[in-house]
Amino acid sequence: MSETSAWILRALFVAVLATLPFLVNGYWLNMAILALIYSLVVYSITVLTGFTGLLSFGQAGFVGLGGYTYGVLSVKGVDPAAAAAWGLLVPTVAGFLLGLPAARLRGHYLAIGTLGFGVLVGQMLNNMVDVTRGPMGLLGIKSFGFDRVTWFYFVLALAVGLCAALEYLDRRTFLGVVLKSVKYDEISASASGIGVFAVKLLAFSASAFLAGSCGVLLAAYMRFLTPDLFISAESFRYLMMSVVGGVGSASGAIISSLILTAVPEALRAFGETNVRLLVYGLMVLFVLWFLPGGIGGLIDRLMTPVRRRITPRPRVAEPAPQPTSLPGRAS
Amino acid sequence: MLTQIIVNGLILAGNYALVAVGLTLVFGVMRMVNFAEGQSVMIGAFVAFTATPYVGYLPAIAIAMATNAVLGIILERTAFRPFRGMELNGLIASMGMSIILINLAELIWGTVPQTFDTSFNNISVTIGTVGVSVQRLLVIASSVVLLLGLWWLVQYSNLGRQFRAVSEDPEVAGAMGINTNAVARMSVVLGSALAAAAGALSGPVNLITPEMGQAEMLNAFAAIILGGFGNVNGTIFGALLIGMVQSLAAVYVSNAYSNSIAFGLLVVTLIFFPRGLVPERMEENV
Repeated sequence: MSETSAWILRALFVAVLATLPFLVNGYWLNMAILALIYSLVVYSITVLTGFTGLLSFGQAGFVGLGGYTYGVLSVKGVDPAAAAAWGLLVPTVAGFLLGLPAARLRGHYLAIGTLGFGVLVGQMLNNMVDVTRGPMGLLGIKSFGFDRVTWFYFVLALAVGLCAALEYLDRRTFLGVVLKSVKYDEISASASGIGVFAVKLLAFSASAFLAGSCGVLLAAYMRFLTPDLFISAESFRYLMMSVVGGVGSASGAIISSLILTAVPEALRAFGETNVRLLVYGLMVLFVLWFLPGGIGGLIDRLMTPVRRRITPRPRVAEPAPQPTSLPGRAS
Repeated sequence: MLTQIIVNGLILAGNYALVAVGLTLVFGVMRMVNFAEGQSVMIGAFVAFTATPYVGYLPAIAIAMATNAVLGIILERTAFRPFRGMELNGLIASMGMSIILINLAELIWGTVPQTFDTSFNNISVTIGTVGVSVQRLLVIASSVVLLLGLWWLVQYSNLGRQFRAVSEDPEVAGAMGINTNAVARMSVVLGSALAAAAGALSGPVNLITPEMGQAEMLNAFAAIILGGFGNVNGTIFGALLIGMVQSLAAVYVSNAYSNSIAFGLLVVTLIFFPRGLVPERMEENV
């Protein structure tokens, strides 16, 4: 596919989404708004896991911190803009602080350590009844005063803009290279003068910021929060969206959060909720079987111009070429 | 009081250890996390629950373990074999299987929590001043027996040697004539059967619901990480620690915080011991 037709496809995708308010009823528009809000937390996984290679099982914790900070302040009568600022600041700081010990952890220790963080935040939201009202739910959150269609265009602009920004970061900037160098080989990254620890802290904070913004938007849009929205099962659902989209592909992330939100709703035709989720689970399995790179992998394959297509790298590392002669020394 | 705390702690610990050892085994052999392990616990509990009225409790445990062994084969085929070397995909695939299993269970057994009553629940023995039901002692004793059996298997049997060889280096193990696929399948089968035992044993002590596997698995993860991944002794130690602390916390703090305390302990431990209390051997290739 040529560069032009790739741009035409992208424009078409956004255009189809932009006409959605005229095509579907309020119920489906509501779903689309929620899916676009959730795409932000999927981006947070794209940054953390996809770009930097750090696995987190606790993203719902950051979403919860953002959402509840906004919600509680807004109920206390703080101006929505100020509450939103706090709602972004608190998870970012929490992400930075969590990053301090977490950047030292590797692989599964990191995953379960962050899972611990997620569980702690979830239980805290549930148990701090005098602040969060616990399982009774937080009511009366004030919003930005948008109607539903405005909300849709607002989150659409945000989601598409962030998607473009992340793709740009990934492909065109040096920061993208720095992040990926940490993912592929920490040791050679630090040997090349990259501050691995600082990069990981940055990734954690940025990812917490994105997840927190998802929380703030959720709180402002739904205007009602319960701790159930932020339990660790949600973290796994976000991770599932990310993997189906292809971890590390922002375009895949937005598409998969739209699909994985819409499909369970569309499957309501099956009636019984269990059958519905059963089909959902099967669908995830099928995507993984037939598209190992997720939706993002499929997009990459379609978008790459045919003549530039490279054969996939062999699984086994090739032996390093033997030096035939040492430079500067006559043999 | 103290007896009560110790017995409850040991029950929790035995359960977590059975689940955690299964997870460690699968991880050691395939470098993959089996997210459906919690659902194996749940399926085990329900199969035992269904079989008990027909065959009695103890044979029902064996039936549950056998059913889950079959489930293990299915899991390995659907969620692990297609994703060798793609760790994250395997994790999500087992998550997908776990959604499927929860919803199947809800279709078959309903969503209402059920009480699983066995004859051992009504007999009790007195230890010191408190009466403890035989069921509770049975849970502890069976966990110990199963864990000892697994230890023997991994340490001394031919299969155990194959497990250890594959977890050391799958390629070399394959070159030495070990069928790595069969070994991987056996690890999931064993892990799943042990989880079934955990579910069938603890079911009569608690209520059984299709959602019960999740919490069980989270705590097992905490135990594994506390102990250090891929290390059976460390895992059992971690499970003991978490079980005891939770049982103490349930009495002296509040039941609502018991998960927070387990994971708080985990997070604090990881700050000071980034590789768990019994560090896993890790190679760094430069």
